[in-house]
Amino acid sequence: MISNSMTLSLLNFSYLAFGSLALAMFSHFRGAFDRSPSPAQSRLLYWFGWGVLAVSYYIGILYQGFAYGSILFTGIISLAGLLVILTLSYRAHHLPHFMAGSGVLGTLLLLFA
Amino acid sequence: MGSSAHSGNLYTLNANENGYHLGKFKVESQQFLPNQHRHQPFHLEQITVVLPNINWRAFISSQPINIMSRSFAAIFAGYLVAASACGLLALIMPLSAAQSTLTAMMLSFSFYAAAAIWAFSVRTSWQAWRDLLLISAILYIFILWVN
Amino acid sequence: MKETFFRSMTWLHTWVGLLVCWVLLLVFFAGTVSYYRYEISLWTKPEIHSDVLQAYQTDNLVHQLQEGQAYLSAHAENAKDWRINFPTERKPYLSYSWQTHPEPGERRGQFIEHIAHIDGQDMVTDIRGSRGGNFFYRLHFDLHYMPAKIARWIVGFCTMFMLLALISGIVIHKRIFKDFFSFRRNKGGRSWLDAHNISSVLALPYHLMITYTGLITLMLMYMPWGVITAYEGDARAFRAELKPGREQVAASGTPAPLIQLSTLLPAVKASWGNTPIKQVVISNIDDENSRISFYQNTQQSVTDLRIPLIFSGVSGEQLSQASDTPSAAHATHDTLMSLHTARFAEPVLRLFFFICGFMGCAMIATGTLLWAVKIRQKQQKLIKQGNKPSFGLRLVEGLNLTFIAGLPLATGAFFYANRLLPTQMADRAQWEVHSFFAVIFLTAVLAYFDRSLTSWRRVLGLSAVAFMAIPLLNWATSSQHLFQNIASHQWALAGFDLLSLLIGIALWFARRKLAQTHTKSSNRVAASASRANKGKRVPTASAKVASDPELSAKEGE
Repeated sequence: MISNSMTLSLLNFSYLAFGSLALAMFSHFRGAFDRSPSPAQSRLLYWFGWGVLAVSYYIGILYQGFAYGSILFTGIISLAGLLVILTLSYRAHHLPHFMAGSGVLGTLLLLFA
Repeated sequence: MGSSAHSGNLYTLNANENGYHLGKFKVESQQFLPNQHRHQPFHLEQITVVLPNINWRAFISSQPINIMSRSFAAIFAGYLVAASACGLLALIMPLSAAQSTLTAMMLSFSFYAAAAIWAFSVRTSWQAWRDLLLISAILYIFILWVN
Repeated sequence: MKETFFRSMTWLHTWVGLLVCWVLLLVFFAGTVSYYRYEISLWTKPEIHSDVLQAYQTDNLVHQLQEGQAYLSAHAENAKDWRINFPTERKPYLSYSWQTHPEPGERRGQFIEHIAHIDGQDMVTDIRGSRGGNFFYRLHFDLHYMPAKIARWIVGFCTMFMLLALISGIVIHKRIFKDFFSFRRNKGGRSWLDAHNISSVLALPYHLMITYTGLITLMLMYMPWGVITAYEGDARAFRAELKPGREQVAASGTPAPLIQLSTLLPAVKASWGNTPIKQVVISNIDDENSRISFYQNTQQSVTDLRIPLIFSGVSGEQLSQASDTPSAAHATHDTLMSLHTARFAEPVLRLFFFICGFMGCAMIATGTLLWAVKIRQKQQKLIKQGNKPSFGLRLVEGLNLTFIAGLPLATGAFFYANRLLPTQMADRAQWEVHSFFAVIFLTAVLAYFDRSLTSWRRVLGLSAVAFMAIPLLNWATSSQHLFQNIASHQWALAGFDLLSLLIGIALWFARRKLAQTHTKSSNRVAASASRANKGKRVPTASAKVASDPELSAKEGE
C-alpha cells in the first residue's frame, strides 16, 4: 500500500512541475515576477516542468505498479493543478516561494519517509 | 402585382453565434399569391383559397428544423449504427464468443459517440440521416450474411 | 451545418450539456457522495458506534466461524442463504446475515443482518432502519420514485449526452494549453467560463473515465446486441461462459447435515495464503446440494471480480477451480468496472476520487450558471425596460437554485432525519429518503417565487449551519462523539464529522462572498466592469454561485 508520505511527496513534486509549466508562459511569469521571461528561461522552465512530471510518474509506478500508480498519479496531478491555479489567482507573487518549498518538502518526504 | 418580401408574423427567430432562443421563430416569405391578401375570404368567382403566408421550403431548411433533424439522426440513427456495429463485431472478431461479445459491447459507445459527432459535422441534415442509416444498413446486412 | 466543424461542435457542446445538466448534476452529486458509501452507512447506524467496531483478526477466524455457524443455526433456520461477514477496512465489524425465502409474488426475500459485539457474546439486533450510503449509491443510477428500468434509461441517455459534451468540449477548446492556468476572477461571465474550463480540464481523464465506465456498467441493458447476435439472446449462457463454476445450483430437497465451516480453513489458506477473507456464503443449507463459498478481500487490487472458492457443504470437497486467469477482454471489462466503483481505493486515493467527483459537479454547475448569466445579459435591456425575464431564463435560474443549492441542503436533511426520526417508526428508511426529496421540492418552491441572491444566501446559509452542526448532532444522538472516535482511531466516523464541518465552513464562505457582492450596488450593464465574485473554490457544487450587478439590480424576478 502506498504510504501517505509518498503520496504527499508526489503531490509536492507535481505542484512544482505545474508551477514551472505555468511560469513558462509569459503572462503567468509576469504575474509572479513582474517582468517578462527571456525565451531561454521560458524554455528551461517548460522542460523542467515536464521532466519533474515524468520523474514523479515514474516514481509512482515504481512504488505502486502500473495500474494503481497511474490512477493515483492522475488524481495527484488534478489536485496539484488546481492548487497552482489557485495560487496564480490569489497569490501570484508567492508562487515561486511555494514551489521552492514544495520541492524541498517533496524531497524530504521521499527520502526520509 | 409581383411579389414582395412579406413577412408573415407567425414566428420570430433570433439567431446568433451563441445559439438560439427557444421561442417563437419567424420565416421570411418571399412570395405571395397574386390578388391575395391575408385575410381575404373565399370567393366563388375566384378559385382561390386563402393561404397563410408560409414558405414551406424555407421552413424545412431553417435552423431549428435542421437542428432537430440532426439531433434525431444522432440519437436514433446513431444508436442503430452502434447497435449494428456491436452485433457485427461480436460475430466476426477472432476471439472466443464471450470475449468478442464483451469487446463489442464495450466499444459500442465509442461508435455511438462518433456517429453523433458525425451527424453534426456533415453539411446538411439530410446527409446526416443518409450516412448513418446507410452505415447501419450495411452493417446489418453483414450481420445477416455472417449468420 | 454551421460554417465550420468548430462552430457546430460549439453549438453541440452547449446544447447537449444544457438539456440534461440538472439530471447529470444529481447523478454526479450522488455518485461522488457514494464514494463514501460504507462510511456513511456506518455513521447512520449509531447503534454500532461503540463496542462493535473491530479489525480483521486472522487468529480469531476459527472461533468466529464456529460462533457464526452456531448463531445462524439457532436463529436463521429456513433461510435461503447464510452469510458470515468478516471485518474489512471499510466495514470494520463482524456480522452474521441471512436472506429469507421470498414471499409468493416477491422476487427476493428479506435481508437480515445481526452485528456482533467485540466481546463475541452479544449481538446488536435492533439497528434503526436506514439506507445509509446505499441511498446515494442507488440514487445515482436508479434515481427514485420510478421503476429502475426507466431510471437507468434516463441516466444512460444523459450519460451519452455527457460523453458528447466532453468530446465536443475537447474539440472546441483550442486554447486548452494557453488558457490552462488562467483563472480571471471578478469578471462575471468570463470567470464562470474559466471556472468551467478549469474544473473540466484538470480532471478531464477522470471525467472521461467515469462517464464511459458508467455506460459500461449497464452495457448489457443499453447495448445487448452483442449477446443477441453471438448468443441468440441467451444472456444466461453468456454469463455462464464468463464465470464458469458460478452457476447457482438448486436445492435437491434431500436433507443432509452441514459440515463445520472451520474445517475448511486450511484448504482456503492453501489457495489464498494470508489474503483476508471477506465473506463466507452458505447456500442451500442442510441440503445435499449445499455450497459454501469463500470470498476474498481484494483490498487494493484494481479488480471487481469476485472469484470465490466453492466447497460442498456436505463433504467439504472443493468444487471450484483455484484460479482461472480471466481473458484479456474480461480483464479489461473488470478493470473498467472497478475504475468506476473505485472499490480498490485506499483512503488517500479515495479522497482524490472524491475531489475529482466534485470537480465534475463543479463543471456541470459552472456550465449551467454560465448559461444563466449569458441569457440574463442578453435580456438585460428588455428587463430594464420593465419586461419580465423570459420563461427560459426563469426556468434556468430556478433549476440552478434548486439543484446547485438544494442538493447539499437535502443531503444535510437526510442525515438529520437519520438521527432525529423515531427509531421505531414504520418505514423509517423510506422517510429519510422522503426528507431528502422534500427539501429539494421546498427549494424548488422557493426558487419559483424568488430566484435572487437573497434566496441563494438563505439556502446556502441554512446548509452551512446544518453541516457545521453535524458533529454536534452526532454528539447528541450517538454513543460516541467526535473526540472519542478520534481517540479510538475510528477514522470513518471521525472523518464524517470533520468533512461535514469543512463542507459547512466552505458553504458559509460561499454565502459570505455572495453577501459581499450583493451590497455593492451597480446598475450598469457593462459586463467588463462587473465585480462579480466567484465563491471560494471549495469541493462542493453549491459554492459556485453567480453574482452579477445585473442580478443584484433586479431582485425577486
